[in-house]
Formats: sequence, C-alpha cells, structure tokens
Amino acid sequence: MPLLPPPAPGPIAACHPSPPGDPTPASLYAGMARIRAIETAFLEHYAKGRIKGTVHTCLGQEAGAVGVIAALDLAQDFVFTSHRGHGHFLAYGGPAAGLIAEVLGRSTGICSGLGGTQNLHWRRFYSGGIQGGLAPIAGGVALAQRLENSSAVVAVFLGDGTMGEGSVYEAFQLATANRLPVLFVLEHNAIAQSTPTSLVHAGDLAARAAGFGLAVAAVDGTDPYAVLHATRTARAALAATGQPQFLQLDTVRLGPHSKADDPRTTGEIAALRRRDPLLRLALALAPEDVARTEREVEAETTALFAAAFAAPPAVPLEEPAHG
Amino acid sequence: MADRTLFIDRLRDGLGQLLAENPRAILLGEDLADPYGGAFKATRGLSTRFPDRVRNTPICEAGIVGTSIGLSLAGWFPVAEIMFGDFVTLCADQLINHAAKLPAMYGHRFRLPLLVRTPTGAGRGYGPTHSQSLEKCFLGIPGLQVVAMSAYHDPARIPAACLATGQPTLCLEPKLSYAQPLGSETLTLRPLSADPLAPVVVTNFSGDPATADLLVVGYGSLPRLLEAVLPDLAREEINVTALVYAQLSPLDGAPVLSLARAVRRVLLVEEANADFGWTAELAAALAEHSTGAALRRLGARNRVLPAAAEAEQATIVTPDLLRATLLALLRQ
Repeated sequence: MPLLPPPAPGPIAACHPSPPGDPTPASLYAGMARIRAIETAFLEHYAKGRIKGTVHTCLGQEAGAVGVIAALDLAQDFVFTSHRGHGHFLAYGGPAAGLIAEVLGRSTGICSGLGGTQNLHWRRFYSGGIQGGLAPIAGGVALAQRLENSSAVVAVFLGDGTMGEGSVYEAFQLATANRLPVLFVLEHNAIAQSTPTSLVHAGDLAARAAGFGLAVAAVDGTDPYAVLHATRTARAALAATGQPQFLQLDTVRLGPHSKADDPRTTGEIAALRRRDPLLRLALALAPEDVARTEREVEAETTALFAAAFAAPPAVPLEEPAHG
Repeated sequence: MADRTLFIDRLRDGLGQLLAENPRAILLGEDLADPYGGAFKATRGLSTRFPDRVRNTPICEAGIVGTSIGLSLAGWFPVAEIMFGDFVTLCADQLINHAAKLPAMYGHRFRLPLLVRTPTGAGRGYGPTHSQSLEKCFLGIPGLQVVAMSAYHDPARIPAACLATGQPTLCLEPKLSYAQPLGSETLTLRPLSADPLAPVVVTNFSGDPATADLLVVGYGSLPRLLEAVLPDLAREEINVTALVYAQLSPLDGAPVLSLARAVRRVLLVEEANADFGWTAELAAALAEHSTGAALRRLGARNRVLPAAAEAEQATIVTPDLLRATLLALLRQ
C-alpha cells in the first residue's frame, strides 16, 4: 500500500506556513509521513491476518494531529482523544514502538498490551474507546488545573460522529459554566463509520458548541499550518479570557472506518485525496526531499514492526483479592 | 443512650472532616451548596466552610462522575453525590466503562480514588424512579468497588476509608436510615475488624455468635429491620446473629461461610428484589462450599416499586415479613 496513492485529477491547494515562528514544512511533513506510514502498515498487517482485533486509522487527518499538538505546551498540556487516536499519540511524542506493540498485543506495549488500539495512556495523553466518554473526564482534569491556578490547557479531540453523544454536551456545559481551560477540537471528516454525517445530524455542529458558550472557530483541517495557527489563537484566547474554545477542523477520512469497511466508492475517495494533507504539504518541498522522507519513515516503520512482532505477548494483570 | 447521633449528622461531620483534613478532597453534585445543603442535607454548611471544594453542578450525572474521574486522574480526591440512587443509570457508562477500566486498561493499575455517594431504597413513597436499590447492576464489575453504609457502620469514616483504597467506589446510603440513630440500644454489635468497611456481627443474645439459632446476612437498611424484630425474638428466646456488610463487591464471603457452618439456618436479605442480586452471589458461595445450611433469600417483590404508600409496603421487606420469614426458617 503506497503512502500517497494518486488523487483524482484536479488542483491541489498548497499549505501556508508563516515563518519564522512556524516549524518547517520538512519537519511537519516528516511528522505526518511517520503517522501515515505506521497507520498504513497497521492496515497491511491486518489485511494479512497478522494482527487480531481492530484498528481505526487516521489516514487523511494527520494535519489535525500535528497542527494542534504543535501549538500545545507539551510540558504541561493534556490531550484526550478517541478510538482514532494513533496520530494524536505520535504527534504528542508518544513512543511509536510502544504504540505498535500495544496494537499488536505485546507486553512491551505502552499499556502493557492490555488497552489496545483504542485505550492509550502516556504522560498527559489519554485515549478511550467509548464515544464522548472522555469528554467530561477531560473537564475534570481541567477543573483541577483551574483549582491549582495552573496555566495548562486540556485539548479534547472529538469526531463529528461523536457529536451525537450526550456526554459531549454535558462536558460543554460544565466547561463553560466553570470556565475550564478546555480546547475542544472537532475533527469533522463528514462520515461516522459508514454513515454520512449529513444524513443523521441536522444543523451546524459548531453552532451547537457556540450555543453552549464556547468560542468557536473553523479551519481547513488538511492544512497543518492553518490548524497550527488556529490552535495557537484558541490557546491564547483561552489563556487571556478563560473562555473554553471549540475548534472545528474540516478534514477528510481517506481510509476505512476500521479495517476494510468503507462503503464509499474509489472515485469518492480519489476526489478526497486532492485534500490529502501530505500531498498538499509536499508542494512546499523538493520532490527528492519528499522521497527521502518517505524512505526514512518506511524503513523506521518496518524496523519498529519487526521489533514489536518479536516481543512477548501481553499477560493479564493479577486478579485482586476476593475478585 | 438518648443522645445517639443521627446517621445524616454523622455523615455530614465525616464529609466536613474529610474536607478539613485533605486539601484535595472535593465534593460535587446537584444542589449541594448552602443554604440548600443537598437534597438530604448531607452537605449542609460545607460549602460555606469550603466554597471552592463543595460545588454545585448542573443536572448531569455523567458529567458529575466524569468530572470526578478527571479530578482523580489529576491527583484530587473527589466525592460525587448522585441525588437519588435511581439516577446512577445516568452515570453507569462513566462508572463501568471509565472509572472501573482506566487503571487496568492503561496497563499499570494506578490509584483512582473516587467516591460516588447515592441515597437508595424505598419506604418513603417516592415512587418507582426515586426509590430503587440498583446496586445489582454494579456488582461484580472488575475495578469497581460497591459499598453500602448502614446505621451499624460509622458513616463518618466510610468516605475517607473508600478513598484510601485508591479504587473507584459506588457507595449506597440507605435513605430511610438517614434519620436513624447510629448503633443499637438493645443489640450487641461487634465489627469484625477495625476497618470501617468490615462486616459487623450483631447478636440479640450474649455469648458466641456461632451458637445462634438463625443467621441473617444483609446490608444497608437491614439494621432498621433488625432493630424492629430481633429484640422481640430475644424475648421469645430465639437467638439470632446477623452479619451486616458494608463492602458488597468485591465480596469476602468467608465470614458468612464460617458462621453458616455453625448456625445452619441462613437468611440472606437485600432491599431490592432479590432475583439476580447480591444475595444470589452469597447463596452461590454457600452452595459451592457445601455448607449444608438451610437457606432462604428475602427481598422486595419482583415488580416495579409502586408510589402509593400501602402498595409500596406490600412490595418491600417489612419487619413483619422478616419476622415471619425467620420463624418459618426456624421451623424448617
């Protein structure tokens, strides 16, 4: 499976860095390509039956992961995310070896192989497999920051499908009523598993957030610089005003929901590929630099998977007394 | 002992003491703050003393428990109040899929001190959605502790004891007992250990509990029934030992097994309808360990709790029903 399958014919929009404060296109591209390579490898190994269970990749959404997290203060900020959280984990700086071993059910996994693809924890990063379930928990972490006069911010990634869950709205109202330092990031890829969001949701999702008193912004989620700049603005506004923020990233899901369950036609997906964040950012790089980066991330990925497959399988925790 | 402390006052003292002693203890829930002080007044006065740490929330049980889990992750000691035990269904996902799971699913079983308190039980005519004892829905969930306060345990010590376990805990408070004095004037109470969560051995006679004619096992509101029934049985020279549990799940059935082997006639009581409940788990333990004891279960009738007082009384376990069931077991 190539990292960059061809898009449908048509224009590809460039991304817009603002030097000198921004990371270079080469560094953001490397971050996104690394996520793409690892996610692609997961799908290949599942297709070959070498991994059990499930996986939800973020192909097409890499710009949201690297853009948001590049604007955070990783020495103190928290990140909460969902079942589609590998990209966020890697952008946060989570060890790729631990992620791969976790998904492969190895004892060397970041959660000893017991949480799996959907339930990751490393430092101040948390993911969970229940839609919207972590949103109020993130609010509790944010309440602790407020009570401790910490300047840390809690970023919460949500998908548009998750906007059907009531716990999200409980988290919204608690965040605004208590002026909690929360940045909700809606990765709007317009499809939930197999269902187009427009078929099952009425109204504008960001307007819902605005109705709860969150400060709302929307941005092109396939341009990592646009995401980075919007996140910086939101984070600064949060610090200045105390008003919780909601940032909508309009993005694309280029892969299946999980392993091979995509009802969309190849033509539809090829059209979405014109918004592939890697193709877009590659326009800012020399072709040989793109090719070299791809060779490097693919070699790293191959080595990481080989090491993970060689690690011992996970073992369950002891039962507690009287269990 | 005319000055015996009421359950609710002692509970409130304990919550205040927790806030005073632990600067990271925090209470969250609906209508907790003064002057209202909680639907059952368990927090009256506390928001005045600790305004930042006794916090009113919107009506959002999942949000309350989720926020509490987040506070605990961040190093705090949250105590959430769910106004009626019936409403724990609204935070079941947070309890079962989050609080109970996070430490184990993240692979390193970190401490997650978190207490969710909720008043349970019928008898006040609050109707089918404000009277239930839904603990059976939360028993046997790995990673989730279920505890029941009672008038024979010290309600002031239980919140801190639950938090000290480092485990997410759902704590039932029998609402009929709130206005009851703690302890007993007529019965002998012997906690099995100094642990505030340890079962309490109750007897209506002096002497070895193992020599009783009957053994009653239960929790929560059971002391109200025992106070009404056991003194009379003592006058009839029927010796009864009761075991009143606080920690329901995970369950240490060993005290029941050892007493059942000696007493030979065992009645297991719970306030909800007993089908598929805590008493069924204990009955299974008694059967698996071949105690050979005669065994009965007693709980509410298998129907939705009625609102009307007479119909409610005809549904729940009353002192008369407990007495009749014990006498029948004695003749068995």
